[in-house]
Amino acid sequence: MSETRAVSVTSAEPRAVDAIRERPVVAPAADIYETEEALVVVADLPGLDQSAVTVELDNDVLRIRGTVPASQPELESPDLQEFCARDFERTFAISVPVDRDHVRAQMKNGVLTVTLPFAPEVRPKPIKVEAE
Amino acid sequence: MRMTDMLWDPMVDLMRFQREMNRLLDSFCRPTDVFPRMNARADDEAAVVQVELPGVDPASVKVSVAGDVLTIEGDRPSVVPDSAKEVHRQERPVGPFARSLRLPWEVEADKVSATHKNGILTVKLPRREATKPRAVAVTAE
Repeated sequence: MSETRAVSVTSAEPRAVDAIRERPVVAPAADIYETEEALVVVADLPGLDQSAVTVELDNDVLRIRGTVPASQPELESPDLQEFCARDFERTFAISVPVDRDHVRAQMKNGVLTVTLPFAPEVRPKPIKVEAE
Repeated sequence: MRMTDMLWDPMVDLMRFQREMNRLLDSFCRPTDVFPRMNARADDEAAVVQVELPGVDPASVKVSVAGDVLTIEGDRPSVVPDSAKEVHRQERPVGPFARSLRLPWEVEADKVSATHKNGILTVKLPRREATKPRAVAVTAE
């Protein structure tokens, strides 16, 4: 499985309304693993709820986007600042066939979990051995 | 003034350059590599500390105050199950963590409140009454 980092947020079509706020866009830290049934992508999106996150599967590219809502309370001029309000974006190239109709995405405690079940044809299939 | 004081010292200019560069870099937000990351602000009355704890069960986080030191402790479990067939990437930090922060004054420990929302913990710490500055009236004799 290969992976690409998104560096830009400009969309292909011009948008009627553009965001006024300028903020950094970062690639969230992610874990990726496989179970028998599915490929699972887990990403840290602290501060976001499910309405602020979009997940799309465009051909073989899984795209995760998270936009910090304007209502997010921020500390003004903090004395200590180790993180800042930022949007998240990251894309992953999915190289195995997945069952596109059953992809699930879930947000809990600021963590996004995307479960992509393998397409039936790539799942291991027991083959019965018959006696002649 | 002695003559030696007036000689050009290249270090002075270099130090000034370094200061200017640091100031420029500080104007951007640079996330740090620690876990968990914290933002904090304190005035004379109270302090607010925000901690990024995505994927940490709020019930498992221990928030404690001793004098003027706030400590946040917990454990972030791995999401990768033991039954995983293959692990492609593991960037999210896991394991026990603890961070402490010294505040500019002692805290009223009984009145500390902590809320958790979408993986961000917000701790509010009021200053201990006895440590607040008190105005003293000056009376004429």
